[in-house]
Amino acid sequence: MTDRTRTRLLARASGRDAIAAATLLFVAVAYLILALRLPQPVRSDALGPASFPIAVSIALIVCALLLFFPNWTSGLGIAADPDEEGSDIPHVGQTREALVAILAIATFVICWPYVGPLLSTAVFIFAAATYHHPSSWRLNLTIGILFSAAITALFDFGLGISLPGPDVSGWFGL
Amino acid sequence: MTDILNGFATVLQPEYFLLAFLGAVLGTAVGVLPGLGPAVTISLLLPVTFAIGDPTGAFILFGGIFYGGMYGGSTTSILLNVPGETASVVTTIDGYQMAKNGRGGAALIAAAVGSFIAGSFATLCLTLLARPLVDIAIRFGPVEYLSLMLLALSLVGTLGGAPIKALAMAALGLAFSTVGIDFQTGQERFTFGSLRLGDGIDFVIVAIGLFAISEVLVSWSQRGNGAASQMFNAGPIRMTKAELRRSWSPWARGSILGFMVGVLPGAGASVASFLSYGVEKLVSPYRHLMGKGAIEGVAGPEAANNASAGGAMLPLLILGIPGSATTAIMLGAFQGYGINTGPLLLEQNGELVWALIASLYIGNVMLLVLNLPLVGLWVKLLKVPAYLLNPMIVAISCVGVYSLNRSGVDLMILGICGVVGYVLRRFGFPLAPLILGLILGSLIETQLRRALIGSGGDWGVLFTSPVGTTILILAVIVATLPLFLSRSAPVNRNRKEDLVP
Repeated sequence: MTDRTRTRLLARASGRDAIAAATLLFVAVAYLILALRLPQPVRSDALGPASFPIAVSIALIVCALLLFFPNWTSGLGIAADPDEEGSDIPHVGQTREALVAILAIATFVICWPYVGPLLSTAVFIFAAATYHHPSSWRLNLTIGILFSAAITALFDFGLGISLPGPDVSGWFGL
Repeated sequence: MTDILNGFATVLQPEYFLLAFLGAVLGTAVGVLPGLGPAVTISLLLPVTFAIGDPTGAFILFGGIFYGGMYGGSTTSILLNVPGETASVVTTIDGYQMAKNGRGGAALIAAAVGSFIAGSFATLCLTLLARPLVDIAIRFGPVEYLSLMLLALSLVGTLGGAPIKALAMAALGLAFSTVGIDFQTGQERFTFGSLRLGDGIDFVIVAIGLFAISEVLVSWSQRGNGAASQMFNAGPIRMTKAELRRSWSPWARGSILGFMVGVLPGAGASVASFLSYGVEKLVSPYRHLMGKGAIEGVAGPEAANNASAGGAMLPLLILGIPGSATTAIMLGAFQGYGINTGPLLLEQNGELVWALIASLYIGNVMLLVLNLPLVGLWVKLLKVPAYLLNPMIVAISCVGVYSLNRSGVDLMILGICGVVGYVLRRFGFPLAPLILGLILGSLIETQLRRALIGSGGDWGVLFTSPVGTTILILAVIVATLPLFLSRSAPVNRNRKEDLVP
């Protein structure tokens, strides 16, 4: 790796770490606030339900700060190594594709309990595979149908696990 | 000696032999499926075995499923980065890297042979050392357990990535472990009114989401960068001499460590496999390659999780204490048959116990014979194009997760964990420490609070036990050792010939 590439990766890695640290700090502070709001039951042990979460939130805050200020940790040898991590930075095209994938998976996961695995799996496999390889749509459709039938048969009949069908009442168990 | 020989005579009867084989096959098959482990399979089969009405046959079947599940769990961890069960999470770190390096077949063989060695070792210990080991195990109180859990947690620095990021992930895992109803007071914590979250976040769901779904997202997103849509080459289906030589010590260490952890009720196979990985990261001459596809990272943990399965049988059979979810269901099965487990079990139902132990020996051999030829079949998964394999992984993960609690909320959690896992990977955070934190969080809190209840709130109790204090000191050493090791890393740390011998 050339010095120039290394410097560029270092800059990008530290930028990413700053974003990650800020997010982690936000999560940690929110978690701390929620932990502090936990009511103390009348009959409780020495620690109570809130002490452990408070200790964990403090640990999270410390980690976030150490990530935010890598200079604090550089002497300890626990900071991020750009040589190992720089290559994992996504490109714009990858981010766009990831968003498409997230959307597809989210739709599948939300529909799954309502539509049932048989139909949703077949459609999902067909749609996802055809999105990448439109020319082999016949093969994708066949595999989608066969795979979803096999999975449903294995779990529903083979293992006796009752899978949901197309009925919308009470599957989310909330 | 006569007892175990009688046990073999029982198991070698055709109907019991067939049941042992059926258990091995079923265990391997469900171990491969994400989400489904031996505990779920045995609970599903309980009504069937009650209908048969023969406890000896039922427990021979359960023993095969228990060991088979541990064998099968590693397969998808290695080939697809999809952990079959939580004990295989740590196998994904180096196993999947080995598959990427064209050594998937070797990794599967290392896992199968390691499982065989560890399973046989654990069963031998079960035969010879049952009583003295259990006597030691029951002396472990909350303080000793807490120290052991802290020792396991101190290994986060060895699980890959920058140690500060690993620490942050472990803390996040600990935070997730606090979701649900507080076991001491019944107080709801961070459930936001959801009944499902009252039971806590299931680490199986988190593991599948973080590893399987995020892997699909990574693979799918690489299409945008013009990446190939094919998976990587399977490589030759054999271990090289160098790989075999390097695997013996991790197999031995993993077997001993796994069995010892398995004997301790509540510690479980996941803790055993994480501990084994940590030990390899600290003592292996190839530790600098771990995380990049070192066979030690597969051989050690896979031996440990199988040995812990054998170890977990000890407190179940001798004391009637279930050491894991699977043995808890087996305890229920004993009670269902009207058999009292505990110190008198061997006297009152010796024939059944020795037949079960003999079936574990035979089951282990069956599993090796069954699994080695299957390696060639499994690695063919790597030849399935990614554009077809990815949606299949998502689909099978969903069915597996749904089968745990029959809950759509679990599917939501799976999806969210997948996206979180993808983002964390993109930001260079290692995922295994989060799972470790999630597994250990409730155990640490439970044991700490039990210890403090026992001492009336005196924190000094944490340093009163010689065993506990020794383990705590060991935890501090293990936690700080990576800092020194990282400064003295070998110069040739990325030698290609060590990764692909």
